[in-house]
Amino acid sequence: MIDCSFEECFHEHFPRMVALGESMTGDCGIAHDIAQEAFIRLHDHWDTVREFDQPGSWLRRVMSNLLIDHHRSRSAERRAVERLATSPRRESSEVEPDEWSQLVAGLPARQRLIVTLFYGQDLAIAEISESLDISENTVKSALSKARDTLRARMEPRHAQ
Amino acid sequence: MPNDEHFDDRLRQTAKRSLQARASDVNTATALAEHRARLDAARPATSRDRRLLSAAAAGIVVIAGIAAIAWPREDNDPGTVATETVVPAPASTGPTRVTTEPAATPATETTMAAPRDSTPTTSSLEVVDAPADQITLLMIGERRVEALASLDGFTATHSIETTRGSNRTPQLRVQEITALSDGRIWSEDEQGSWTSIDPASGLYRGAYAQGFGDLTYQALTDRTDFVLGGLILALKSGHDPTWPIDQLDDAGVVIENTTLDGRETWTVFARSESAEFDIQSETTWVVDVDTGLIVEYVFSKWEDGQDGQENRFRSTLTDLRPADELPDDFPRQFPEGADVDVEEQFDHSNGHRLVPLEQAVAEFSPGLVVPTGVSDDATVTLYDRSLDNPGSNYPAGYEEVRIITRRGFDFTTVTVTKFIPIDGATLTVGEVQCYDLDKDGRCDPFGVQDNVERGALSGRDLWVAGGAITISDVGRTIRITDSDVERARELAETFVDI
Repeated sequence: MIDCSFEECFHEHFPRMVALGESMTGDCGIAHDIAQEAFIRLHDHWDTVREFDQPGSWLRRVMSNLLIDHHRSRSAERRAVERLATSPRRESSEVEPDEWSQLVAGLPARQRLIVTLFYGQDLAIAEISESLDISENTVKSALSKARDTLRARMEPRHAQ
Repeated sequence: MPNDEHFDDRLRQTAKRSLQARASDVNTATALAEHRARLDAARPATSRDRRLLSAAAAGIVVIAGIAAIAWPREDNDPGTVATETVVPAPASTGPTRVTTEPAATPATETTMAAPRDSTPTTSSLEVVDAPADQITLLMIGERRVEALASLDGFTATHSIETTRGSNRTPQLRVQEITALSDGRIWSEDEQGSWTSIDPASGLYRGAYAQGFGDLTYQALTDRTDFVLGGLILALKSGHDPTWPIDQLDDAGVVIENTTLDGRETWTVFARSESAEFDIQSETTWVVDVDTGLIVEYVFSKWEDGQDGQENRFRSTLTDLRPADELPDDFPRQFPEGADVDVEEQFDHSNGHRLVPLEQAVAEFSPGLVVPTGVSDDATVTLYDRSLDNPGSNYPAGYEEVRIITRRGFDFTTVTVTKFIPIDGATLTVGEVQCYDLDKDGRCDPFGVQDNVERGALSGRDLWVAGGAITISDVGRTIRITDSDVERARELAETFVDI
């Protein structure tokens, strides 16, 4: 069981979720919106999740699902339209692409998410498997494909 | 070639540097305030209610209406566009810019306030002389329902402009979009991105411009949700042009007669303010009188926590014209040898397929109940979902059948869902089970309670909320959404077991 309040958990994990979201979507507003949704769900399930040793893993799983849903349908605007009558919303605002975003841009969404979790958030393959509800072999396969793609992109730069 | 370990280290450093920089930009105090505001906005609804509201909202976007649409005529006769509810306007000195000075009354959960500044929230919009105080959302709603139901399709230039704070240059995306009432949609922009959506085949194809000037390709299959039309329109348009604006509260909005891009429009304006968290927002919807489409949606927000400058999202349809066909190469093939991402269909949440009604009857285990006279043109979708999303209150899996009847861009939707008990939160009343998530010993209400009087559902509890009817039956729940709640209510009396 974790020994912190919801607010402390929010301050610790929200920025990480937003960063993950921005890497996936390239849009600060959408990332914030999805992270807020994840924390709404955390709030709803706080009595249960607070019993976990690692609430971050639960949050990552929710966030990952939401990000994949977002990518699948590219439905941020739809969600916003659905919500706008009852909830304050953050608007779409693309962020300046950084080195990592440029590097992983163009990877399939799931590969992008997996490499970001693996390299950016230090998750083990088993944790990614758990977070995304896919087999470890699928994670390894996606990681391998993504690594090949990234190597092809990076090598010309570093060959100079 | 670098070895794997060295290469991995490089990737790790790059990724961490990026994520840490992004995380450090996040103002958690402001975010937490927004989180609380969102929670407040959702209360007193329970989690399940919120989920149902979300589902209802999804359903709401498919609601629209009926009747003749009059595209602008050469002679611009106002009689072709004005409804009997629009009263002749007083003399005007001429069109003026909208300066958004509404004398508004408080909305349900927000307070209306004077704008923080006089920044116009519309661009090419012009106020026309009109006694707008006599126009109500109900009047607009009736007109838009009438127009949308006879709208076969439209094409337009769609612009999305986003502005964030004082230190950002507005970003503009422009695309050409064509949407037909059967759910097929095509869009294309100057960067080479394109999207084709065909609900009949469940196929979604897209090419998206990425960094480095590349295009990435995506193909989704079994996307039968596209038959919902409004959702996919929202997806492609930045806003849902068929959104039922009359669902808003009249007391919280200001309405003006306007023109946009040379077309007669109604502009609906709402402002909200959270005094506690110092967040103010303004929302504008511009409804095209002829088509019933929302042709512009603008949302602006000011937060002291974000330098107090305006964040604005503007989505506009211009050069609007009727359409009844798509490009010859629709749905367009991917280039030879293109690396197409087809791995996005995750089985755990989207098991659904278009089926004949007979097949739905055969496969839906609780037994299917449908309204009398389901049209041959109706779309029947069978869902067999297993939601494994830990943020959801839904049971692990459920079965559902959805029947959609179209009238132009207007829909009636009947959804029959298998009831799956939730441990510790389910009551049995007579033969019918219901949820009691708040554990007060009573079935959680879905709205205003009534009873079905006739048909296969006779005697069952019926709930009316917004434009939706919900009926609790043995082993199943039936939900009807329609732009006309009375029509939905009448439909509830016609069900037969099949």
